[in-house]
Amino acid sequence: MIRALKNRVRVGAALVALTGLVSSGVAAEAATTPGVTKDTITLGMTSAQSGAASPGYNKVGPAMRAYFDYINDKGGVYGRKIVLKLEDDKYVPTNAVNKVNKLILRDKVFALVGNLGTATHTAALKKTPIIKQSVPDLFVNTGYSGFANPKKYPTTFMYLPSYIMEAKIMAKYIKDKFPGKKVGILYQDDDFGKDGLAGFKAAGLTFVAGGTQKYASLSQATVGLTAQMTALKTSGAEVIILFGVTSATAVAMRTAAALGYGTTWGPQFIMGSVGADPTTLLTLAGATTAEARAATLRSLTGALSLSFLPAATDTEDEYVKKFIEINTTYNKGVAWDNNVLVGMNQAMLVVQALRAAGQNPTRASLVSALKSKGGTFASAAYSKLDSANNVGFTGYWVGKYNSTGVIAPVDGGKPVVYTTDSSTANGDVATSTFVRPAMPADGVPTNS
Amino acid sequence: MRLTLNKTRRNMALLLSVALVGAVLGFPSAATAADPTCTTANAVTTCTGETGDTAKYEIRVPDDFNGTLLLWSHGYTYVAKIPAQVPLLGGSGNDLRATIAPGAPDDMKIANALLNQGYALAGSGFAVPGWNAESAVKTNVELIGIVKKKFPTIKRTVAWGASLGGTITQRLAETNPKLIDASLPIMAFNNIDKVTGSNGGYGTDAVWLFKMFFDPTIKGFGYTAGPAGFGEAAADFGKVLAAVVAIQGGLQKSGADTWPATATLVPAAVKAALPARSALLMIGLLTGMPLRSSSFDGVTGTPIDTSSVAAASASTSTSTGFSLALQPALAVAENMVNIAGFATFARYDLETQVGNKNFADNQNVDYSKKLSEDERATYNVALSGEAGIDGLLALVAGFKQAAPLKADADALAKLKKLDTMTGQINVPTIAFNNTEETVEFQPMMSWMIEKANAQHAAAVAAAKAKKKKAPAKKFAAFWGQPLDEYTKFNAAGPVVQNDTPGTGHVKFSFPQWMDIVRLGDMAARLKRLPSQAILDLTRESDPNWYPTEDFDADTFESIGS
Repeated sequence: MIRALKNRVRVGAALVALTGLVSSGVAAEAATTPGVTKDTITLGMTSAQSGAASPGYNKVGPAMRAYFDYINDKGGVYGRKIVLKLEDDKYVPTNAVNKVNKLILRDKVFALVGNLGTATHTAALKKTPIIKQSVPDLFVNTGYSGFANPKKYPTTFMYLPSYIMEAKIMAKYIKDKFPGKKVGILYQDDDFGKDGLAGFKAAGLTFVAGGTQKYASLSQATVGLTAQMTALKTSGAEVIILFGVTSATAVAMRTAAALGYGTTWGPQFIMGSVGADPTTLLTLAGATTAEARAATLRSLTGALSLSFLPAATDTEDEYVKKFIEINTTYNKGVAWDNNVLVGMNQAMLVVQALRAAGQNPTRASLVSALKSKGGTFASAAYSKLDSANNVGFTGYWVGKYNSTGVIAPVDGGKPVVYTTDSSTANGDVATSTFVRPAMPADGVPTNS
Repeated sequence: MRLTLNKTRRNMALLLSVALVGAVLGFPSAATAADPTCTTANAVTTCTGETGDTAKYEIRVPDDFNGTLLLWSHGYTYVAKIPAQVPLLGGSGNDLRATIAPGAPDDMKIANALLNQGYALAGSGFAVPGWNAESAVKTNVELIGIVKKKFPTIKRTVAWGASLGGTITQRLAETNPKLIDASLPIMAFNNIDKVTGSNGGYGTDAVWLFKMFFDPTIKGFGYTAGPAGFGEAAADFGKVLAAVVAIQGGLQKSGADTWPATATLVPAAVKAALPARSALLMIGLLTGMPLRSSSFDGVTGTPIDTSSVAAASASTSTSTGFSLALQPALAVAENMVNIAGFATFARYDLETQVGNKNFADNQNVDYSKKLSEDERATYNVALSGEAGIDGLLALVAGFKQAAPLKADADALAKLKKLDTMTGQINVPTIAFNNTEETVEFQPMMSWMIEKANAQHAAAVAAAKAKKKKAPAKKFAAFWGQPLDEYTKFNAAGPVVQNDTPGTGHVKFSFPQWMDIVRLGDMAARLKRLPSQAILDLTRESDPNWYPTEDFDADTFESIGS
């Protein structure tokens, strides 16, 4: 307390000393771009670094920082080093608001990058000055289509393809590959699930009677999914979509095994991309016993899922190859996986956006550059980044898990990529003709 | 609001600050007031006396007086003693002791600190309890005259006050600007109709929704005239408290056993499908109530054992679940008790002042529109998913169809006339509020900011038309806020905390109170607002201040009132 009072006295003295200040000096300072100095560009990110949602996701931010460190060692962006301030929001909306406010108002970051989570980022957009101060809000890590809304969120850009896109592509695949089969679905009863249902409806995919099941977020951990999975089994569904988060997938698969999946019950499971990360699934399974972990791998084998990036295990891919190299040197001790790939790829997009914003970037020039040039940026993704419309990537490929938890294209070889948009007016899905730009030399973008 | 650190009075404070209509009492002129009685001890001269309207006052002037008088206006005090058996509030009320600073006279920490810094302090207990803004302004005018006559060394006067005292302070600056040099209205209560009357309103919706969901025997509105009505209000407060305690007891359960036995209007099927905590949170969201409270920060999860990966993985979902699903409801429970105080006892008094009729009305309120899409997404987990949200809103619609509140037109008209604060800024003014304030909630401060900004914009436009220099702003706003995380646990569970800055009602830290006075003193000395650099530095120096003036607060319009 004594120290606090002393500090308070010092602040008081400073206030008195500043009494004579006129506003001109303040105005001059305000005219500079927040977060940009002669030597640095400071960026901010919030993500679940701890708590129930953190397994897997907590590797994305450090992977981004590792790539920035790599770029910094290569001279930075027009000579400026990138500083990433990573805050742990624990996947709690109130905390996301606290942390984004801190980043913008106290740390005065230039832009936000890679913020993760639908509920968390919805709260942040509502209760922080992102919009009022036109803070660039790049590559939000969620598939909720509502964030691609330039009128409501003019500086927010998505990274993932939307859940609507994913549902439309999933629907086409099911109709093409499993014609006449009875389809069921388990979805999360929130914006995530609503987006997905809208996509399935647009694509004309219908579900067998009794085969539309939902769960309230978090209830998978407290109440469980026995009622829903039993209903799906009873419905006779032959293809079952799991359109939820990874912890729900884990519980669903465990419950399915208890209901005879793999022995007396054999539906084809197809999982949404955000609920099928094998690393996270195995981490969650490890929470119980080694036997549960092995059972998870068994239940995962043969399941289908979607991805917009190359498989993290595809070491022939030039992006994967380079990112693994960077991870080894700049992210020491962190096991390479899909989450690291996601983070490094996001970071490379950020670097290109910063370069495109010019040698003296402003928040406005960054947003403008991303709108006009984002579609040309180099990226590991197999589809185009539709940043002109604040949309993320626009395509998916379908893969199957093998017995070690690795996903690979269903028919072997190179992935077949499907592309679509977030319109719910139609279910149009096409095979992509997108040609992915080559990896920049040495993994260092030189765009302008 | 009378701020004391005495527990009973602190709890009582939860209720205060509501517009209780004071009878328009005639009072004698200042000429009839006797001279103060003064003594000097410990380098401070203390004077006491009564103003012409019999309000007790106190003045303290230190020997090393710095020339600045701080005139404090305390908040609302009940018009009668709360019956002793009422939980939390029993025994409080009708307190007319002279009060010279926040916390005084029971806790003199702030007063003594200011005296040590050379400030002179003055304040009264006012002549009447309840909603006394107009008579209190007259008391203050007389008191300023008494102080200046007795202590001619006074160079400048800063008016400050909190809750109803904030209203009195602002009203004093509006009507008597030549008597004061700067004004510090803190949590000034305004828009009494939008808060308690027509179109639902914060205090109306909170009690009505709580009544319908959790205990329809709560009377809530249209109290009986006289002491019987005061007793009904006391009984209502007790019922709210009992239901909240019952809900809290069932928070870790699921299904029908989470609901209090008094929730007789909620169908059994709904109770089986949805936990009571989701209904409680829905009440908070539909009213615009803060979703952080003195004990619950909306963030902190339950303590977890991280000694092993398995333990951490197994328990983090519980911890995160607590943060996502339980924290908001627990905060609403705590805040609901605060609001229930003002929405019962104060409503009784207001109804008394407008003819013992109900002035609350929600016939035209569409509660489904009070829940935004953003809120649906943000609180989906705590509201039990989309199905839970839709189910709860359907239930509310059914409640309203069955038993809407209908105001007596004459009573409502009289209620609207009780609000005399205009928002006119005549002297350098710095207003204060908290982001999680439960009684004078965000829209009241937003209203003041909008009024001040509009006034300044008009003055600038007028100057421009006359090709004159634009006038400087005379108004600034400060938002206090709690720290990011403050929820504490012991072996029995969350620990109740009462004094978390930024939450509850008129809760600032000691350093914040010192900031408030320092800024007011600067404004009085400069005859204008402190520079923007000073304001910014003050905000940035303490995490309990929101870092900028530009806090995106709710407005009456944004919450549909």
